[in-house]
Amino acid sequence: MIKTLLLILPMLAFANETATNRIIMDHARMKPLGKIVRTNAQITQLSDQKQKIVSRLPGHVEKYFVTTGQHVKAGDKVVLIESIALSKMSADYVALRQQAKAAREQLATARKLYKKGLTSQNELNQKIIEIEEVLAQQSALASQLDSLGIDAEKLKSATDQFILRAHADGVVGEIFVPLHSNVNAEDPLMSIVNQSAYYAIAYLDLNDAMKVTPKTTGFIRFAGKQYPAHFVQLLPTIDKETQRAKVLFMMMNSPRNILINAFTEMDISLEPYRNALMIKKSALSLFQGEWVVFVEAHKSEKAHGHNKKEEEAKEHEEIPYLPEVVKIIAYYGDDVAIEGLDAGEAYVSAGVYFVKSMLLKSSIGDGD
Amino acid sequence: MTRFFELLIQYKFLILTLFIAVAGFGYKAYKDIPVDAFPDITPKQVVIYTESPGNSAEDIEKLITYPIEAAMSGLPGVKMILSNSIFGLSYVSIFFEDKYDTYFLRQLVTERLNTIEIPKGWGKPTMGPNTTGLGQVFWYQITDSSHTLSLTKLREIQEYIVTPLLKSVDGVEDVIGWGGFTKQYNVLIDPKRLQATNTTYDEIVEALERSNISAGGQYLEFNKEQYLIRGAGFYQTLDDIKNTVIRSKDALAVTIADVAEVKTGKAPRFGAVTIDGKEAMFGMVLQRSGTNAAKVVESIKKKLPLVNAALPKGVSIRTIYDRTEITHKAVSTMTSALLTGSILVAIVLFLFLFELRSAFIVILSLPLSLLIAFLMMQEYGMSANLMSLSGLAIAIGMIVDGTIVVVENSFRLLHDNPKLGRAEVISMATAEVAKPVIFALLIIAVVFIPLLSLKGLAGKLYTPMALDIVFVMLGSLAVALLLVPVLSFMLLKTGKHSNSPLMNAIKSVYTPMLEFALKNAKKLIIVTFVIFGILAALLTQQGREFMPELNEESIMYRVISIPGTALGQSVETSKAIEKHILSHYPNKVSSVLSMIGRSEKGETAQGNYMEILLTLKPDVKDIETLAHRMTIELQNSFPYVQFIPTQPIAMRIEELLEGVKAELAVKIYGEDQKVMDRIATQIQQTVSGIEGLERPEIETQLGQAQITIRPDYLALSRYGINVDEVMRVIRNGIGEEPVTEKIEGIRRFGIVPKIKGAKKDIASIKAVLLRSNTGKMVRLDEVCDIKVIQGPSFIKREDLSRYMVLSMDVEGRDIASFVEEADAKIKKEVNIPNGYYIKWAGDFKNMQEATATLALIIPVTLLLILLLLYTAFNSFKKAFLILLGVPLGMIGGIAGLLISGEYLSVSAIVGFIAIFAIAILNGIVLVSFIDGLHKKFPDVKMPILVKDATLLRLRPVLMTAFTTLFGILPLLFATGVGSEIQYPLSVVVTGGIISSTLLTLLILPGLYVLFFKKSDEGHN
Repeated sequence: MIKTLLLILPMLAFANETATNRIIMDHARMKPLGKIVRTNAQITQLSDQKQKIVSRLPGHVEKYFVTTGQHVKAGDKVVLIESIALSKMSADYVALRQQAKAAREQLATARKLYKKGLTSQNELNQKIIEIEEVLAQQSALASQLDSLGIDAEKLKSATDQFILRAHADGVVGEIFVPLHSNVNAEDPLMSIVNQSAYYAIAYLDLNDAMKVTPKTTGFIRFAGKQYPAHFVQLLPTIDKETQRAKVLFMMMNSPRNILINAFTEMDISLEPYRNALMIKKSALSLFQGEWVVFVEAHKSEKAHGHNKKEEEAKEHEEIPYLPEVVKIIAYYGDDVAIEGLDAGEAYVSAGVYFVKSMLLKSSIGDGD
Repeated sequence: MTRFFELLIQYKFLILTLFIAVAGFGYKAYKDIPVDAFPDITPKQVVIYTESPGNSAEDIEKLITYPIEAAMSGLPGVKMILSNSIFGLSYVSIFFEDKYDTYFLRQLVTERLNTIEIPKGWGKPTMGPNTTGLGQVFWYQITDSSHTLSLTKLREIQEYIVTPLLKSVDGVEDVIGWGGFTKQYNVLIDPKRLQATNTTYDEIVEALERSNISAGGQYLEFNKEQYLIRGAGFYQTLDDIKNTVIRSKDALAVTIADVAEVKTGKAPRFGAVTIDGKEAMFGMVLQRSGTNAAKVVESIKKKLPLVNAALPKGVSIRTIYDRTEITHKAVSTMTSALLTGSILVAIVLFLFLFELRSAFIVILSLPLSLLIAFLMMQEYGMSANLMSLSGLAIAIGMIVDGTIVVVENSFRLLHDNPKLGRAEVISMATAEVAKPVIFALLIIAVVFIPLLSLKGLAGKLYTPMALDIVFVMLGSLAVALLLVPVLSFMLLKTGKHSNSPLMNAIKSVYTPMLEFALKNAKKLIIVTFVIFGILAALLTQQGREFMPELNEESIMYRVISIPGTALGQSVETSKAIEKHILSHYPNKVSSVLSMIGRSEKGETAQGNYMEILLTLKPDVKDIETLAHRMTIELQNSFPYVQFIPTQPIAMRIEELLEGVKAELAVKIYGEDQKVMDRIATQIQQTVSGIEGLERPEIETQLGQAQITIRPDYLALSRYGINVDEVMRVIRNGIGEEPVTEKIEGIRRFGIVPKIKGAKKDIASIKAVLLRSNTGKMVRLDEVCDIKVIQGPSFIKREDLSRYMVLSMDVEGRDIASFVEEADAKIKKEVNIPNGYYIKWAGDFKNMQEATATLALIIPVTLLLILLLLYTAFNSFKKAFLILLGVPLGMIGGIAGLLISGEYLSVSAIVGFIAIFAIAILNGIVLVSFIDGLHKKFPDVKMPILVKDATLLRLRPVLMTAFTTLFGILPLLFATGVGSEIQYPLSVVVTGGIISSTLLTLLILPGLYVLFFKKSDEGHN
């Protein structure tokens, strides 16, 4: 009995292994387009390096946690600022989160209705697009909050309390702004002098260097470990030898046993600079000399109504997919940012080869 | 003349001894003769292939293919040059006139090869193995029952153990390994480390090249003895590679280990083999041209135990395909047809003669003639194969004709002249019929001469057959005129003339029929020729094919995916197909083999192409139905690939058809592939409305995705990087071309300075870091313009011009008229720019050529026969009368073809030629006898004379007809391998014999009366 079962099971497995089953659909989504650059970096030590604590939001200096001459460690609280801007941002974020939740519930209802045939595919798509937009806004805000050191996920209600922390170990040197005075964003509040901080000079190509902002962070890999680092300065002269821009990063939590002048590898996450339509990289195919993504034939007709496509669809009646030419904007991990599809549009994300094969089969010829 | 035969009888023992000796040698020849499934049909062809790893089709065409073609086009005897440039390979095939010797041609090609200049690093042109198209005589798999050895290891075993051992077998030209992986040592360079260590890519390459060397230091004489001095610098271990010094400064060195990891890896490959859902190591043995396939395979099999002994434990050679199997099957189909035919003929003879002694003499002439034919075959270096043996099978009924006539006449004269001496009577009898016998057999031989004039494939296939018929006819002539008189003298008795009961029965039926026929002669003749006219008209409507397909009792597919399909995907596909077949046909199929892409020795298949061969269980019946069902089922289950059913030998033959496989095709010649593609599409649209067109398909040559990296000179100058450095990174760093080799005993493995992580995706190629010698670091896409475009996947050329193929089938109408109509329409409607032109090609062309040759040769042959007949009868009227008998035979032949639904193929045409001979023989027998009677009794009225003569001659006419008929019947009912090739022929001949015999007996007498009534009246 068991033997026969063992014989039958693999047979069933093969029976299911048809081409159509390997075709998987997905929806094009708007996502923040960022970039991780892996580059060389050299570890250096700069003595008596002053670190300025900058108010990153406009607001009111409410409290200093430290006094001049006091030793601080990386991550210690130094200043509390009350900020209307933060209050607005956090309120917006909380509101968006609720909005997203509601939208999700609506989408679920719409899906159920669609399954029962009570609503149109078009409406369902509309819902998907809506939710994508909300999510995009929400994630943009979250990343802004994140860069301020506020964990958006844990945010329960709006807050105006913004705590600045020391980036690295050191001694508080000077306090520039008196207590209870108003400050603008980018105003320096105090300096912390670090007698022996470790830094890394990252060698970036010029394009990437221009995208670096004060919020840029990165990881330095050294001897199998990763150390977080944050942007300090884009050095004004480029490295003559390598013709690359030098960007100074400071290593947080001063590591022990690090070797000065060592060349290491560094991953720098450049900030999301725009939202872009993303699809899976596995969806791309070169078709008649152009990059295409395969979309469902009947849907594409509804969405665009091009005559040419209808003709093509007739030509390949039995194949329910059509190639849609797309323009590649950037690769980002497993995703690729493109132009040429609509947000929320369904596309073939895996098994592209089989779709292409079926479309091109008539031209295969007899080989040789 | 009589004296000659008397002499023969006088020296009877000498003659007997002579024939016994001939029979002995003939038997030895029969045993020794090379046996093959098919005659060697390979055109005289030399292949030049150039492996140029990593390079694109366009570059290969420009830099390799064209120079080779240009150099070879001036060679003597060149018929045609075909080439195919694909990714990584240039393939040029030069076809020569058949009259030249292969080794001479190869030498000419070698001389020219030396004059060709190909840029350094682009590969070295090599001549293809000296084998025939059917040279892959033995296929095997290297299996590992321990399941511990990797495919890389098995490949190593194939290359360094199996190949050398099998290559040493006599008659083996080459051994080809397919599948598995070739080991290489990867030096995985991390470009970012280049900055840290202050090195460049070129420095690493140089360091590797520089360090892996050895030197000989002559010798030292020390204490009267000689000590050899040897610098052993070759890399021994991986650590040696790691410790290679790139540069040193202040007692410190930068080594390979500082910038790279060293690991064993796998070289890029272009082919793979899967068996029963798993990748496997597979090999093929190529037979040298001119050797005997059966013997080569036998020697290989003898060597196998030795090879197996040399392999590691658990590893062994498993035979997958062996040419001798099909050969034995084909030859046994034919020999059994021969044997059955002989037995049937013997029975017929006995029934007609009803006398044992004469029957014995006639039957004895059968094997003797055959043995003489074998002796001559051996003399002319022919092999026993499907075609040559079928020649013997066709002729078997005709062999006995001469003997029958001699014996019958001797028998009759002995009966009539009991008083004369036996030797005298027999000599007289033989001399009397010697002339007609010689003429008759000569005519048969002449009839088959047109086949010798066939060119190309048809010629190669049918020449051995025609030659064999001529041989066996000559043999039978010798037997009839030299041996039979002696045997008749020794064996025949002047006894009573017993009448065969069979003959009596036939006569009683036939006599009233003949009387009726003579009465209504005119009407019958008109009806007959009207029927002939109608049938001939119908025949022109019959479908045509060049050659019926050989049934090799196997199932094989060519499976094609879209151009540009990756090898990895094809491996997935083949595994899925294999598992599918094994699980759906567990009772029919025991094993499935897929050969994907190409092996290492110059084939032009790419990753999107595979050949799948099924091994069937021995008890599987009705393979054709199974294959048909399976094709449909597979096509449904795997809609993304195309299945084309074929068979192992048929496939190779198709490949030899000089380019185009389809029945009909338009070849578009020109320069720009895009323009040709456009013209092809236009032609396809233009002809699509024409009646009879089916499945027009353009063989697309475009469709290969390419990443082109074009250097940006301004950017390069900015960073101080040379183009050759970039190209070196592309060739070695990305393209994995080894820069040096690690030598392990006799084995060699490439050392590749590979760039780490470069081959993940397009973005990773763009991000490859370069470092100039001044230290500047730059990404590849900053100094090069990197684009993804669609390029040609292959470029085919014929006689120095590119071409593209639009293939099609024509159904329900004559191809020639279709071509005419389509051609006119294309000329009118399609705008073909200057420098572009089209040609019609395809299988039909072979057929057309063969028909054209025959159309010229057949009238000439007719004239020759007329001349022979005239010499025999001294009357053009009679010669013409006999020729008129030919349409009578044709009627049956055409009817047979139409009824069986067979196409008009070269095989069928050969059948018609055979009928030609039979009809003429029938005519000769009758006309000459009527003549003889007329001379004897000049006063008898013509119709009565003709009637008597016909009745008297009934026995020999029926005997020759029935022997021929029963000789060929086994071919008609044969079912084994190869039978289908001769089926159209046997259908035509069977129909022809029946109609020819019937009509000769009914119509010809009437015709004779009509022809000679006047002269008869004048006589009176």
